[in-house]
Amino acid sequence: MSTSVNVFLTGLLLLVISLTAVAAAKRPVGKWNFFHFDGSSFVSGPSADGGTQVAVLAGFRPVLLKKGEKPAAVDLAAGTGALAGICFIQRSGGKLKRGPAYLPCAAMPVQISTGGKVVATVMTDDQGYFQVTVTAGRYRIEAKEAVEVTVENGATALIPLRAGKRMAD
Amino acid sequence: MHKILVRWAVAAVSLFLLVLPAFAGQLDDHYLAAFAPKVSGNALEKAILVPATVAARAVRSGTPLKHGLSRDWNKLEPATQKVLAKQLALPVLSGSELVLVSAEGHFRIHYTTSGSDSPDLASINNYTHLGFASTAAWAGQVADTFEAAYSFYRGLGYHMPPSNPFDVYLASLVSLGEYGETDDLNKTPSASYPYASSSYIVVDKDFTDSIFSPGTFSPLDSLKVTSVHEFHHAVQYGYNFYFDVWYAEASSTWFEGELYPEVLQNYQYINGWFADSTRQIDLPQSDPSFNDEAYGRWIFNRHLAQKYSATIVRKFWEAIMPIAPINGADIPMAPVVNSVLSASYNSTLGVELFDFAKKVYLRDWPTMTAVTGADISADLGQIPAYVPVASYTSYPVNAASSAVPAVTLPHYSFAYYKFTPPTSTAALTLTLAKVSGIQAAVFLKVGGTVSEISPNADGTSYTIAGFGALDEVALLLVNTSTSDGLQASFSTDGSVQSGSTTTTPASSGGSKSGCFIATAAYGSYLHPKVALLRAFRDDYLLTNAPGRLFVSLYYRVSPPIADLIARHSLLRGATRLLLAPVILAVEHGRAALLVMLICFGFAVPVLGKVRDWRAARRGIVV
Repeated sequence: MSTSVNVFLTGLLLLVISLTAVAAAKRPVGKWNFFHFDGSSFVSGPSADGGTQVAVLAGFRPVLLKKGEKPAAVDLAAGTGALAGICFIQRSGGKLKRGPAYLPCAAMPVQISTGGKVVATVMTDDQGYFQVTVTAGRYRIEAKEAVEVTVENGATALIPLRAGKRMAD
Repeated sequence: MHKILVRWAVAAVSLFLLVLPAFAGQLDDHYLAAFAPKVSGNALEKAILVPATVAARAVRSGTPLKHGLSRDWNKLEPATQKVLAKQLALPVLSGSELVLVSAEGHFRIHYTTSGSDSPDLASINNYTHLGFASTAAWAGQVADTFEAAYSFYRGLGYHMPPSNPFDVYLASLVSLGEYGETDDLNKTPSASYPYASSSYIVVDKDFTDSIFSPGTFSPLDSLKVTSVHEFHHAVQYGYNFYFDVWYAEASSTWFEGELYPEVLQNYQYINGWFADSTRQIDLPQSDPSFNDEAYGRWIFNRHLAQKYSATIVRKFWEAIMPIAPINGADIPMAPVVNSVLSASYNSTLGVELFDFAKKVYLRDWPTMTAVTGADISADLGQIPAYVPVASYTSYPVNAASSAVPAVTLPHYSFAYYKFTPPTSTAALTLTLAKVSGIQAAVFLKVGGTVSEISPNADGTSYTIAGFGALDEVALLLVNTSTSDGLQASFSTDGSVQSGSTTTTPASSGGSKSGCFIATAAYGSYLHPKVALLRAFRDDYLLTNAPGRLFVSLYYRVSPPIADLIARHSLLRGATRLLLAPVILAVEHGRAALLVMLICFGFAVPVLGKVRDWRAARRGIVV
C-alpha cells in the first residue's frame, strides 16, 4: 500500500511538473515566430489590421501569410539561409487625417548580390514583400536603397527596404 | 494512516502551487496584435537576423526611379505595371493633363479640366470672390503662389531643390485628407549635397472641400500656406533625404506663418503639443500622437528665430547637409540642433527649451514682423495658453493628493502644475525634489500680471506670500537633458525630501519603460502580464518614497539579469514560474490572500504531523 502510494504520488508530481513547465514556457522549440511590418521595421506578432505577416522558424523557409493562413514548413537546405523583407515608401504626417505609415511597393525588383555579383533578382508581391533562399554569407540587398546583411545557416534575415519618403502635409 | 494523510496534504499543496504558473504563461499573440515591441535581438527570436550593418546605396547621379522601372518594365506583368504606375510613377490625373509653366520658369503646374482632379472653379470663386475665368487662371494663381514661396526661401538664403522646373500637380486629395504632399524622386548627389534628392509636389486641386474649412480659410489661404509648407519639404529633400520628420514638419509649419502671417492657420496645431508637453520634443513619426502634436512644435522655431534670427533654422538644415545616414535611417535632429546652438549661439537645446517653456506661461512673445504688410494684430492672441498636467485647489498638496505631485519626464519635455488659492491660505511654500537634469521655475499671477519668483536660499523651495490674494501660482518642470525618465516631485507641506527623487535609465523611459526581467521572461514589452506589472509600478510603487526607492534599485540591478534571462529559454521559463505568484498577487490581491491562508492552513497541520511522525520514529512520545 505504502509503495503504491509513493509511486502514485511521484508519478503525479512528475506529471504536474511537466505540464507546468510546458505551460510556463508556452513557446516550445519548433514553434513559429510571427512578425509584421509597422512602417519602419519588423515587429513581433501579427498586425492589428490582419495584413501580411512573416512566419519564421529556424531551419525552415520563412512563410508570408495572409490573415487566417497557417505556415507550412519547408526545410532550408543545408548551408543556406533566407531573406524576407518588404519594399515600402515611408509616409508621415497629415494635418487633417492620420493615413497609413507606409505604402508598399508592389512588383518592384529587388537585387541580391555578393562580392559584386548579382546572385538573384526577386520581385515583390502585391503587398511589397519578397523572400529568397541563399547560401549563408554576406549580401547586399538593393531596390532604391540598399542594405547589407549577413545570412546565417538556417536563419532568416528580415529586411525593411525603404524605397521613398512621402511628406503628407 | 497519518502518513497517507500527510502525503496527500503535501501532494495537494504541491499540486496547487505548481499549477499556478500555468495561468501566468499565456503568451498569446493576439495580445501582441498591435504595437508590439521592436525586434532587437531578443533571444526569443533567435532565428531572426536583423541587418548588422546597413549602408546607403552609392546612388548614381541622375538615375531616376522611373528609369529603373523602365529597365525592368518588360519583365513585369500588365497588372503589375498598372500597380507600379499608380504607386511609383508621377501622378496620373483624372483627365488629359495640361501643363502651365510659371512666369519665372521655376515651376510646371500639371492640372486637368475633367474628372475628379479638375478644380471646381465655381466653388473657388464662391469662396475667394476673385472671379477666376478659367481653370488655367487658377493654375496660374497656383504657379504665382509657388513662385512667391520660391522667392521667399531664396531670399532667406536657402539652397533651392535640384528639380528645375519643379513639378507641381493639382489633384483631389480629399480622400487622403491632405492639403498636399511632397515625394522624393531621384537621388541627386553632388559634392556639397551628397545625400540630396529631387522631389515633386501634389496639392489639392482647389481646397474647397469642407475638410479644408474654406469658410474660415479661403482656398487661396490654404493654397498659400500649403505652397510654402510643401516647398520647404522640397528644400529639405534637397539638403538631405534622410532628414528627421518631426523637425521637417516643425520647419515647414513655422514658415507658413513667416510668409503668410495673416492666415494664422498654423496656430491651431500648437495646443496639441502644449496639452501633451510631457512628450519629448523630437516625437518619432511612429508615435500615434505624431499627427496631432508634431506640427505644433513649429512654435519652438519662432522662439529661436525671435531670440536670435530667422537664419538659425537654415543653419540647422545646413548642418545636416553632409551627414551620412547610419544604417539607412533618418538623421536625428535634436543632436544637430543642440550642436548648432552650442557652436554658434553659446546655448544648448536644453537651455532653449527651458527658456521657451517659460515663455509659454509668461506669454512675452515679440510680435511678428509683417513680411507682407498685412494686419497681424490677432497673432499673439492665437498662441494658446499653457496646459497644466494637474491643477490643485485644496491643500496641502502631497503624496496623498488625488493628482500625484510627481512627474517622470523623457528628454526635452516639460510639465506645468497650477495652484489656485483658497481664500484662507495666507502663504504657500512649494518644496521640490528633482534631479539635476530637470530645471524648475515658479510663476505667480496677480491681477492678470505674471512674474517669475526666485527660490528660497535652500534652492529647492519657493515661498509665495499672500497666496490667497493671487490669481494662481504655476510650477514649471523641464527635462533639459538627453536622459529619459527623470523624475521630480513636489509638495506644499514640505513632505518631499531632497534626494528622494530617482533617475531611471534612458532606456527605461519612465511610465513608458518596462519591467526588464518580466519583459525578458515574457518576451514582449506589451505582454499583458508585463503591462500588469508596469501598471502596478506606476500606480502603487511610484506614488511613495519607499516604492520609488525600490523601483530605483530594481532598475539599477535588473538590466544585466534580464539580459541573461533573455538569452536562455530555461531561465525564461523559470522566471515565469517565480513571477507567477507575484502576478497572481498583483492581479487578484484578495484571491492571493485567500490562497496564502489556505496554504498556511494546510501547512500547520501537515507540519504538526511531520513533527509527530519524526518524534514517533525516534521513539519519543509527545
